[in-house]
Amino acid sequence: MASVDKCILCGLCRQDSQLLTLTGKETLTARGKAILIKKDVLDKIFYIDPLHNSTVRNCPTNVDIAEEVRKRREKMVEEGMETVANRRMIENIRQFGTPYGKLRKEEITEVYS
Amino acid sequence: MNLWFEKLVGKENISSDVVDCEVYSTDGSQIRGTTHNVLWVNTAQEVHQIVLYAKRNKMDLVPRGAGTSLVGGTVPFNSLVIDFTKMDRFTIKDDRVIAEPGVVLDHLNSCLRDKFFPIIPENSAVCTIGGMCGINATGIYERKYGRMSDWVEDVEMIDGTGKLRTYGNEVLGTEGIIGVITKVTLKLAEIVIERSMDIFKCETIEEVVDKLAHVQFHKHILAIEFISLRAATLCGLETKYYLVLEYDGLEGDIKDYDEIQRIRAIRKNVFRRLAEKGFVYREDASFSLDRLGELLSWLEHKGIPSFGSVGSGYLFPCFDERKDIREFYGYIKEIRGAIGKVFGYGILKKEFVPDELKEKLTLMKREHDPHEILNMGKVI
Repeated sequence: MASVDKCILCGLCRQDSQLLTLTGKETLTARGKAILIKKDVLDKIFYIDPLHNSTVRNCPTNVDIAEEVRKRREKMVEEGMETVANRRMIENIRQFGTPYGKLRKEEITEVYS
Repeated sequence: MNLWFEKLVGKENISSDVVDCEVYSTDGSQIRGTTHNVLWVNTAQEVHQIVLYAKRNKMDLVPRGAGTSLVGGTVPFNSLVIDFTKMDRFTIKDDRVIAEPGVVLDHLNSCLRDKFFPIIPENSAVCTIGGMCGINATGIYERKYGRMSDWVEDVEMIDGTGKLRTYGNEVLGTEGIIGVITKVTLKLAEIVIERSMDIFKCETIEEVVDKLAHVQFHKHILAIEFISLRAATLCGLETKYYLVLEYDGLEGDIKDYDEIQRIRAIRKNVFRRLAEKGFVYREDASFSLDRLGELLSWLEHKGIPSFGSVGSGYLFPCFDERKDIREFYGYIKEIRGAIGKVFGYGILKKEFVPDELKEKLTLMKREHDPHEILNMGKVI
């Protein structure tokens, strides 16, 4: 897997972008993210991403954009640019072991073991 | 300004946000420009109003499909970028398709049953009809089906004066400098049911040239694809020159559908393999077939891998450094070849626009976009 510097902006990752299908916005594609990472942009846009690996399948230079976005999120957390939702989710995981927070008994409908 | 656009296209379809502008400031060419605003359009009426606005306010407009141009065809210079991704509807009527510019070619072909649109570029999975019209695209089957202009019946376009008119295929290849396409009527071809292939592995360039001379006038040939020795080696294939012939009939020795698909996939993945090895800059050279031997010798001598539709007179050499490309351009001029006939001219290859074409485009630009509001700095 290659780092984002190898991205040649060919746009072939557009074919697997579910967010592009939903919104029509290039900014939400893997190429959009690569452009922003190359420019060292820190923005909440990096939280709007399913982080699926299908984009890698069609990347001619094998850029692992999902990993790059993960790293960017780490950097944003370090710099205090976390989203409220993300912070709450992590607090919930630490405190209750689930991203949803403390569930009331009646909310637990199925238990898998 | 933003308020006016918000009323026109809706708040969610306009952005001057620095993040969006950054992303839309470049394309497959990796050239960087600057974006003033991005607009995602849904209808021809919206496009019309935007063109009229740009004309009134003397703003540059850049129409953008998938943004895969390798020559900077959609790079803005403080421009309004119109993204056509959402204008992707089409209607099928007998052997015609009326398509909006944002239709993706593979998606269109997957919706057709016994017909297909035969101009299939390598990036057909993402390229849009609007972009293909812009550069009068060609595809792997050019030998049989020609170019985009052979399969476009008419084009609905809003020119730089704001007039919405229907044109013939004479506006194809104008790279968005005279008007913004809003609808295209495409002709469809009968699907080819019986296909077969032959693969020739050649030891020398002379053998390639001889073989090509022998097969090129075969009437059932759909495509003659070539992979150079250097490219084959880098791709992990046998160290030979490859000629892959595809027929619309059962002339070839390879008739098994799965095997044909496997060979096609190998051929389609050549650029991917080369890019993995660092040969990421792809060029397009066209030449007369009697100069093929010379060109191949030169490329192999320099260690430049190449592949392409030699049957149509195109070759795509791949480079690992941009600085090596200049020398290649010089050589192509020397052998009276041409650059830009496949990928278009955009910003990067303006110097290769033939005089005749430049003159024609300049006249068209003067007539259709006298205020110079469309795709500034491209082609002419």
